Amino acid sequence: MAKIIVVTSGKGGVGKTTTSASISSGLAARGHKTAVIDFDVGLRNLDLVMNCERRVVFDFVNVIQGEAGLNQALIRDKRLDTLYILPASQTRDKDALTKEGVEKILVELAKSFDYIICDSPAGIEHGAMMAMYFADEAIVVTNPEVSSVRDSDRILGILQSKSRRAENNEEPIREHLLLTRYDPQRVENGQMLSVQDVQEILSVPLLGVIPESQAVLNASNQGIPVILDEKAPAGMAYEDAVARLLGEDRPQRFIEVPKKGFLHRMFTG
Amino acid sequence: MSTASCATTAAQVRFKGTVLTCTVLEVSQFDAVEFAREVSAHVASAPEFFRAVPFLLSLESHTGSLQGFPILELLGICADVSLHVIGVRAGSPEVEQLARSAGLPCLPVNASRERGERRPDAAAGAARPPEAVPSTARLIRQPVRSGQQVIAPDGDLIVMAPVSAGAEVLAAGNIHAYAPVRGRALAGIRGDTSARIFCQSLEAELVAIGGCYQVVEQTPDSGWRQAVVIELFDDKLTINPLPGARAEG
Repeated sequence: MAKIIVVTSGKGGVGKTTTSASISSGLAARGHKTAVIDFDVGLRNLDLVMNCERRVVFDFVNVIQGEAGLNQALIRDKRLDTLYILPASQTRDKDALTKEGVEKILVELAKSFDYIICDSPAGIEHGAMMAMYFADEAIVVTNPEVSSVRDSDRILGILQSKSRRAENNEEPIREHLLLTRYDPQRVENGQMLSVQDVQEILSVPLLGVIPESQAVLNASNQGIPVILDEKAPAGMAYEDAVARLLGEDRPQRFIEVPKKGFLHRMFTG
Repeated sequence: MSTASCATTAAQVRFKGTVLTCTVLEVSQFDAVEFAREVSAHVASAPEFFRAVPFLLSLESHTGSLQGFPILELLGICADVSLHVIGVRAGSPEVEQLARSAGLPCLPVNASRERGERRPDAAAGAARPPEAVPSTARLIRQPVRSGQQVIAPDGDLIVMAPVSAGAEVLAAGNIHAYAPVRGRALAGIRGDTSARIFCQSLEAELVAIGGCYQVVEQTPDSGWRQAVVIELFDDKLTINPLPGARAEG
């Protein structure tokens, strides 16, 4: 039985799609058969980040409405053969997602996949609700900034009250906090909330801290999930997060300001 | 021409809905002599009050038949002792007809009373004490997130997880919070002014007791981030450190 993981945040632009791409790639790279679904109907982005936009023929909404089979719409990733992408429709809107339609697709995917990653749209409207409703686990992507933290808090409340698990009084959705765009130097200068600050407000187990990095933007533009960039700190941080998601215990690596080397100090004072 | 006059009327008159509290004069049985004696005794006890306040006459709790009820005689006695009756609630078409003839409007009978919730012991004008039902406390272990609202409608609320900014916890009784309260905490929502809010770390946006509210200032003097008890004295909220709590920021 597949595990359904929603990547959500409330606020837009915090890194949900980047995270969905990297986490799904990380799981697939470890041999787990993984599907990643773009729930952002009307604002299709995941296929760009995954570099498969030119291979989209049918999409999520086509499958829901019975215009195409699931296997016709699923795109196999060119780099990882255990990773499949179900793209969003660019021409429809989010009302095309129905609870019954989404459930039907998830049930069918669950038969052959190990993990199903749902990339949620921003906001708390219909699209976001559909993405989270059937989830077993949730990765809440948060920036170290007050409005993002507030929105994540709101999303956590909705996860625990409006999801299928909540409505059926089942075991609650397992929550993970993923702090992205973290800059230890700015935290030290008091310009950014620290990991501790965010954890104190949200009280959710920490899955990982992804440092602010130029590599993320570069990777997105090239259509390569940043986790595949093994030299970038952001890629390594996502790799750690995937390991923790699978139950491994790994220390946090990128939450301290890197110590400057002897030569560096000599020349910069 | 007619449009012009319409415009003038619209400018002068407006119909608006409003809700106001009104004292009800309940009559459970009527004997002219006894009624006059009782009513004048009440008026004599607080003449200023009775002169200023309008009353609604209610015959809902009247025991026995309202057939041929001498409402005009009753209203006459009220007028003699300067009780201003502004309306009648009778539930009997005959009595209502008479009341209208005396120029008084009639109001529909209170719906909740028709369902059999009448309390015959209520004296005229006296506030009814709340029913002494053992109240049940509600216990919350999960964090109360932004946008969520948790209500204990009958008793105390005990919160063992943080209340986030933008969340609301409400209780008819007291609120006990054993984790930071960063949202709003409203105790005594049904008007219990003796309700209190106890919290381990006061970081709330707003606190209220019995409808009296206050935004919380972020200064150590006002108990910010301290263990406090919030109480209502003379319509003013007071925030004091909990006994035994360390007074530090």
